[in-house]
Parts: sequence; C-alpha cells; structure tokens
Amino acid sequence: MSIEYKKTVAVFTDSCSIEDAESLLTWLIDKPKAKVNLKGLEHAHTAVIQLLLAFKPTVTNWPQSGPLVQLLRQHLN
Amino acid sequence: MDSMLNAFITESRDSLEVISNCFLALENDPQNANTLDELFRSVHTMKGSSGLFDIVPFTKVVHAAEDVLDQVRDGEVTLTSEHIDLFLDSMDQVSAWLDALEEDAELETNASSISDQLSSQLRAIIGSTGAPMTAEEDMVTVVELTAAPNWLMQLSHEARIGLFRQLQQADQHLLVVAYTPDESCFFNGDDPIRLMQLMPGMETLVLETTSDLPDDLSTLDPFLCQLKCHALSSGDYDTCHNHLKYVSDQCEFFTMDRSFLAVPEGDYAPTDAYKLFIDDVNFSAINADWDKLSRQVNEMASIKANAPYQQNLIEWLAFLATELEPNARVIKALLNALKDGQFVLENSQTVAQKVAADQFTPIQAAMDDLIFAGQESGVLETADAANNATQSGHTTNHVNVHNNSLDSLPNAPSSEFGSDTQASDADWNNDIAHDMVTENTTVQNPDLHWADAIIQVQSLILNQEYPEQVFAGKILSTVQTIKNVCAVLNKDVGDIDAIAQNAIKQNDVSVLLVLLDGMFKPVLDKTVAVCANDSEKQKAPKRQTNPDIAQTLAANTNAQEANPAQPEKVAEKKAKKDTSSMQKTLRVDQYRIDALMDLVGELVVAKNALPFLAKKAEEEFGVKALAKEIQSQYSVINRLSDEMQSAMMQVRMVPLSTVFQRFPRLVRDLSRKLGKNINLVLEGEETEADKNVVEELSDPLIHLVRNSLDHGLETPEERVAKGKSEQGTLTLRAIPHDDQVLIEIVDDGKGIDPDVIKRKAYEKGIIDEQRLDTITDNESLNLIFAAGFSTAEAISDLSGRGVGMDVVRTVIQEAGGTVGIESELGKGTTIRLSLPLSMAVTRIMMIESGTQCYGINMQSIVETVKVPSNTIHRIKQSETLILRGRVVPIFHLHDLLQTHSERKESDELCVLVVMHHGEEIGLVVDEFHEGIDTIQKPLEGIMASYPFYSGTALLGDGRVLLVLNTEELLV
Repeated sequence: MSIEYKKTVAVFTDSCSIEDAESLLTWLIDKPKAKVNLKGLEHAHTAVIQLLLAFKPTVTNWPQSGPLVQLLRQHLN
Repeated sequence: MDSMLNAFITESRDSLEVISNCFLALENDPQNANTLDELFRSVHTMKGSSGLFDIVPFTKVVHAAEDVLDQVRDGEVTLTSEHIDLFLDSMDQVSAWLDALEEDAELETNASSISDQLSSQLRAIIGSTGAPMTAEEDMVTVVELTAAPNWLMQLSHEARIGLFRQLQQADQHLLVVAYTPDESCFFNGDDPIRLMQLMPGMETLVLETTSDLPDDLSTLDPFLCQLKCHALSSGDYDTCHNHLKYVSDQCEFFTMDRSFLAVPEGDYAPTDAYKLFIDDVNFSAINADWDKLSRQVNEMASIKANAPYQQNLIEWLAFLATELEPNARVIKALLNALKDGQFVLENSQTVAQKVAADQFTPIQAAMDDLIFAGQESGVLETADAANNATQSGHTTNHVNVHNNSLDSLPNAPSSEFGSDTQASDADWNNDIAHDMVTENTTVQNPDLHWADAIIQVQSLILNQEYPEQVFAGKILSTVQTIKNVCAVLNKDVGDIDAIAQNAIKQNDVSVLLVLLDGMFKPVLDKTVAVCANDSEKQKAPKRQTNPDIAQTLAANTNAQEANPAQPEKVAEKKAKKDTSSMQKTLRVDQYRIDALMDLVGELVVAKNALPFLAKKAEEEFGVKALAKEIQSQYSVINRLSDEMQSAMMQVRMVPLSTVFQRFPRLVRDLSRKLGKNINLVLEGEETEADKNVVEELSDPLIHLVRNSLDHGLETPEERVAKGKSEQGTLTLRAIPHDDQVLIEIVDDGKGIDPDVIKRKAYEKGIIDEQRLDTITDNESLNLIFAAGFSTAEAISDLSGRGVGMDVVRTVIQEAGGTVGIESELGKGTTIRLSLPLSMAVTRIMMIESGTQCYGINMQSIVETVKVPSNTIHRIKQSETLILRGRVVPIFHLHDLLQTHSERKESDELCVLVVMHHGEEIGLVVDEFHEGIDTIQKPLEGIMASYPFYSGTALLGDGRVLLVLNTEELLV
C-alpha cells in the first residue's frame, strides 16, 4: 500500500498505482478538509494525479525529487 | 495471414488503381498539378507502408517511383509517354508482387533482380544512379504556432524564465505536444502522464481537465481519464512522435518559437522612469537593430526601480534580444506592455480579428447567401445564414475569417508589426466598413434585393407549421431578424414586439404577416431616400481623405452592380462542391463502425425503458398526463432510434457480390478438373446484407457450391444419356425477403435419392431401424446435415468428407439463419439459406415460466396458441396436441429447465410452437409477453457451460433476461 491514510493526512510513498485511485477517491470524499503528504512520492499514476488535481487537497509536504515535483507544485499550489 | 499485411495489400491495390488512372490521365495532360499530387500521394503512401514489411525489392521500386515523381511534381522533369509506359510496367510488377504476397506472404526469389532493374530504369528518368536505399526521412511539416498557447500561462514566471534560460543554446523552436488521452485509456494500462514525462527532450508538462469537473466530486469516476497533457519538448519531432507512436492518433504536434514563453507578470505600477527608454528602444526595434536594443535593455536592467512588472518585462526583453532571430512581434508586444501594463499579444489578436472582420465585408457574404437563397427552392435553409448576415452587417465585428484550426489558441495577428497603428487602422477601417454597409445598400436600393429576400424568408418561416414548443422561439427569431433589417435601413420598427407577443399568446401569426407585408413596400421606398442622402454626405469627405479606399469602394460597388453574373458563379461553386463531395468515400475501420453499432444497439435497448417509465408514472404516481407525455416522447425517440439503426445498418451493408464474385473462377477451375461442363448463373448479386453476415456466408457457400459441382451435376456424357442438355447449370441466387436474405444454390443435376440417404444414415448409425421405417423423404433429405454424414462413394479432394454439410448448418445457425434442402431425383437440388440481414439487434419474444421470464428468438417461433388443456393427448409418456390436423409433440418448459416450480393449473395452456430441425414442437409456458428488440450478449463464466441458454439481454427496466436456445433445449 503506497498511500497510508491517517486521520486527516494521507501519506504517499514510493509509487502510486491506479489501484490506489479508488481508495483515494473515497477518502477524499469522506474528508473534505484532507491534507496530503507527498514527501515520499516518486511516481503516481495519472488517475491518482487526476484526483489530486480535482480535489486540490492541502499539501503538507512536497515530493523530494523526480519529475512530479514541478508538475504537482505547479498545479496544486 | 498477418492482418497488417492484409490491410497493406488491400490498400496498395486501391492505390495501384488510383496510380494507373493518374498515369492515364497524365498521358493527356502531363502538367496537371492535381493529378500529380494525387499520384505522388498514392505512391508515397504505398512506399511508406511497404517499409513495415520485409519486402525490400518492393519498397525499392516504389521508392524510385516516388523520387522521380517528386521531381516531376516540382516541374524539373516532364513525363513522356515512354516514361509512363515504364511506370505502368513497374506498377504491373508491383501488382504481381502483391499477389505473391497475398499467397505466400513473401516475394518471389527473383524479385530482387527485377527490382534493381526497374528502379534503375526509373531513376534514369531523373538521371540519378540508383541511390542506395536510406532509411527514408519523412518530411513532416509540423504546424508552427503563431501565438503562445493559453496553457503556457499556468507556468510561473520563474518556471518559464528557467526554461528559457535552460534552452538558450538549443534550437529556437520548441516542440509543443498536445496529448488528449482516450477517456478509457486507463483500461488499456496507459499512464499518460508517465508517458509524457518519459518523452525525449521533455521540458515541461501542463495538465488541463478536458471537461468541467462535476460540482459533486463524489460522482467523479476515477477510472476515466479526463486530462489533457500539454508538453514542451526540446526533442525533435521524429523521436517524440516515435515515443508516442501508440497514441499518435490522440496527439497533436506543433512547433513554437520559445519567445512565446515571455509574458510579463507582476503588479504594474505606472512610472515615468521608463519613458525615455521606451522611445529609444522602440526606435531600435523598428529598425530591427537587435544589438543596440540588447545593449539598451541591459543598461536598463541594471537600474532597479520599484516596478516589478516592468523589471520582469525587461528581463524578458534582455533574453529575447539576444536570440538569433529575435521575435519582433513579441518584443513589440513587450515594449507596448511597458507603456501601459497591457501585454499586447492579446490586443493584437483582437486587432487581427477586427481587421479580418472588416475585410470580409459581411454584407457581401449576406448578399451571396441571399442570392443563393433566391435560387434554391429550399429558401428556409438559408434563413439562419441570412439572420447571421444581417446581424453581422449591423455590428460589423462578428465574422471571424481567421479560421485557425487551433481552437484553444489565441488567433494569429495578421501582420508583423506596429499594433498601435494597426489598432487605429482597425478603428478607421471599422468606420469605413460601416459606411460601406450603408453604401452597399444604397447601390442595391433600386430593388433592395437583399431586404426583400430576407423579409420574404421571414414570411415563409412564419407560414410554416410548428410544434407548440418551438413556436414562440420561431416568432421571436423572425422578429429579431426583421428588427435587424430595419436597423440597417434606419427604419422604425414600431411596436413589432407587442405584436409578436400577441401572436405567441394567440398562436396566430396572421397579424404579424399582414404587418410584414404592409410595412415592406414603404420601407423600401423611404430608405432609398434616407440612405442615398446619408451616403452622399458621408462619402464625400472620405473620398478626399483616402483615394485608395475610394477606389476599393468603387470596385466593390461595381462588383455589386455586376450582380446578375454572380448567381451563376455561386451556382457553379455549389456544383463544384457537390461533385467533390460525391467522390468522397470514407474508409473506416470496422471496429469503429462496430462501436457505433453497439451504441446504437444500446440506445435501442435504453429507449425500451421509457414505456416502463410511462407505466410507472401512471400506475405508481398516478400522473396520467405525464405518462402520456412520456409515451409521445418515446414515439419520437423510437422513430429516431429506428432511423438511426437503419442508417447504421446501411453503413454496414455490403452487396453479396463480394462473396459471389469468387465463384466464376472457382466453378471454372473445378469443372475443368472434374471434366464437367457447367454454366454458372449469378442472380441478385446486388442484394445487400450486413458485412458480418456476408462474411459468415462465404465458407458455407463454397462448401455448397463444391458439393453441387461434385455430387450434384453430372458429366456431359451422363447428362446426354439422361436426355438433358450437355451443359449443367448451377444458379446462385440472392433474394431479399423481408428482413432476411434468401440464398439459393440450384443445380439441375441428378438430385438426391432419399432412399440412399436413409440407408447411409442407418449404416452410419445416425438413425435407428425404427426411424428408418418411419422417416419421410423430406426428413431424410435433412439427414445430410447430420454430423458425420457422407454419401460420396469415394472421398474426392473436393468434398465428401462428411464434414461439409454439418459445418454449413452450424455456421448458418450461429449466424441466426436456417438451411433447407429440396431435391427431386434426376431433376436437381435446391439448397436454401436464409440469413438475417443484420445480426446486431435481435427480436425476441418474452415468455414466462414459473414466475421467471425468458426470451426466445423470434425467428424460431412459428406461432403462439392458447389451447384448452383437455385437447392435449397422451401417447405413452409423451403429450401431443393436434393443431390444424397436425400432430405436435408437447414439452413443458419447466420440465425441460427442471425448475421444479409449481405447475400452474388452468384450463388453458399457452403453447409456443417452435421449429426444431424442420419439425414443429410445442412448448408449454405459463404466459406470453411482448416481443422486444435486444442486443444479445453471450453468456460468460459459469453460465457459459449451459448451452440451452443462447445469451442474455438487458430489458428496459434493468432486468436481465435469459434467452433460450430451443435447438439445445429440445435435443
């Protein structure tokens, strides 16, 4: 499981696949004020990114490296 | 064979046909550019696709031809008849190679030497000496963007400047890739963002949602891709295109000057600090003295002022000025922005639009439309065009002739520099154009041709019958048009609005019509005077100020006066349009048609839900009016979906000749081999049927034709001995019959002897002794369709293996058809295939048995009867019913399905009579229901092992219906 759902924060690590999309969606619907911690995220499937773009949750930590850094900062800031 | 190779062969044959036609046309007209283009395209396509396969000799010849044609097209070489001979010979060879490819999937062994010879002969035309084959680079021209795409602004200033800096050494042009992934791409395992990120030379990626997100995000489907990816890449087109080759149909490629990255940001604070600088720099910019400009800008950059916007802007200027080819337009835009904080690329777009609109002289367009309207009988069609035209005539700023296909991008300014002057020019043009409107009308005034036409059209519109819902809308739109006309003619419309409202209320347009008719004539006379005066006043000063414009106006008015000639022109144009559209055919992947067909099928099923809804509205909610409304809407949708379905069917229809055409050759070859003299007669080849059906048909038909040739028709000697003509006749006949297509294979051969069949069947254990005694002649003929049956004494290599007829029957039945046979000993045999015209939507009848609904294919049902239960007779274990003098065996559906449900006791039995192997059999069910159109889906998973269900269908109310396979059920 590359997304760990805590009380109000979802912690993303390594690589998120499309299988994570559904659970993420449910979680984002349940927690309108949700935050996401993307620190450990290296790669996310388009479906996951699409959800982040749609819900625009508050990002507590940005990814450290990789091509997603710029992309996510640009769209979620 | 490899499907790709197959497609290549078909396509290449088409191309060859085009090519040879083109060459023949060129023989008469060697310079015709259109023919040359078409020829080149076909050869180019063929060469390109041949590269996919390992057929080097083939590619080599086509490549040589392409090279030569390229030069011919450029006018460097003129084709002579000898050249064309050579080309045609080469193409004949290519065609022969295609045949070889089709048969053996490879070229002949000597192909390589022939190819060398041909290609060097071809190349000799242009004097080049058989250049070695290189990996041919396709010169693809990628469209260059003329303005920054909108999404670029999603990037921050830092990101853009960083990008610019990073790219400074590279080519000034960037590759812009717009990738709109297919919505369902996730199901194919695609990850669009990842794909883009891995693209060679990937610089930046911007995402955009393709559709508006739903307000309620909980309805979001996470597995639908709703993103569009925009990317900037410093890679070249070929590598990027190659990287995206599997999704290339979803990608668009452009190039963009990297100067477009320059868009100033920040808060604009007006300051005088830059005033002098602006003048200096402007001067350098106008003279295109970029070195000087660069120096000036650099000096300025070192000065710190409290104006973030300007500083930001100067930073960009500094970058842009050092480019190899500074983009003057962007620099000018930036300089303008420095003055007023308005980035002008935006403005220049509107300027361009304005200018474009003015140049277009909307009234002219209106005239054309109207003249057209006058000619065509369908005046109404152009009514909307006329509406638009009058509106644009009034506002002058409506028509966008810059038909840039890149919708998402701002429009390109039409000229290079000086948006300031352009803007004022535009305003001025605008005035002129406005004058021209009046002026044009004046010139037309003697008959006020266009106003007349518009008003007439409006009367026509008002005279039409309209359904209630659209009546008000129609009235309002005509009134608006009349107002527009009057506005152009400076005529007071009076209380037309009030009249219109009354007309809507009373559902009566007569008052409006009278008004229209009455106000019409006076309007014309009066406006002639008004306009003439106005234009006299206005024309004079303008003429003095600018003689050029006056001249153009004069030319324009002359053109208007020469109007009588114009209708022909328009008609000619129209005719041209018609012929070009006539020649267009569309080759569409069958998959797409199937997808569309599926959708139409779904629609047909979905529409079935409406009657349920109507019933619910009436029964559950007691709203009868609503139910009625739903019903009436349903009938509309029903009609539309029916039409759509039949249109769709039409698309899929192919003539049976596609199957039939292979028989003349087959019959000729076989009859020679067998030493028989056979005349093949084809009838009704033009009968059309669904492509799938026709394809399904081809194998069984070959079997049947072979059988007739082998077993049916006799040798000439035998025939003469029997007193028949020497030549046997085999007729293949296709007859459309309701929604079925009937195919008959008739031979006048020796016929089938039922006794022989019976005996053979008994010997092979297909029937038992008891059956041997009772079987009728007709029934015994049907035995030839039984598995493992063969009558031929010796197995020839043509037929007689005992699989043919069995397979034929299975295939035809799977396609939803039936096979019948008739034969008279010594006279001949007729085999009848009956197939549905289409297999997509099937009509089934719903029946009920033990509280469960089932479907039965309508085709297998003979009749439905209700009989008193005391008419059922028992013969030993079996029940029978005498129906119009025939004994029909009866089975109960519960027993067959073993549902163990309570048998419904009643005095009356519902009996469904179905055809089973040529016999009528009665099925007792609890209740009959209506027939419905459905798309049958095959059973999957665990259910697939129950052959007595042929599939499932979805009902309008969402229930799933099991469709019974009576053939299996009654075994």
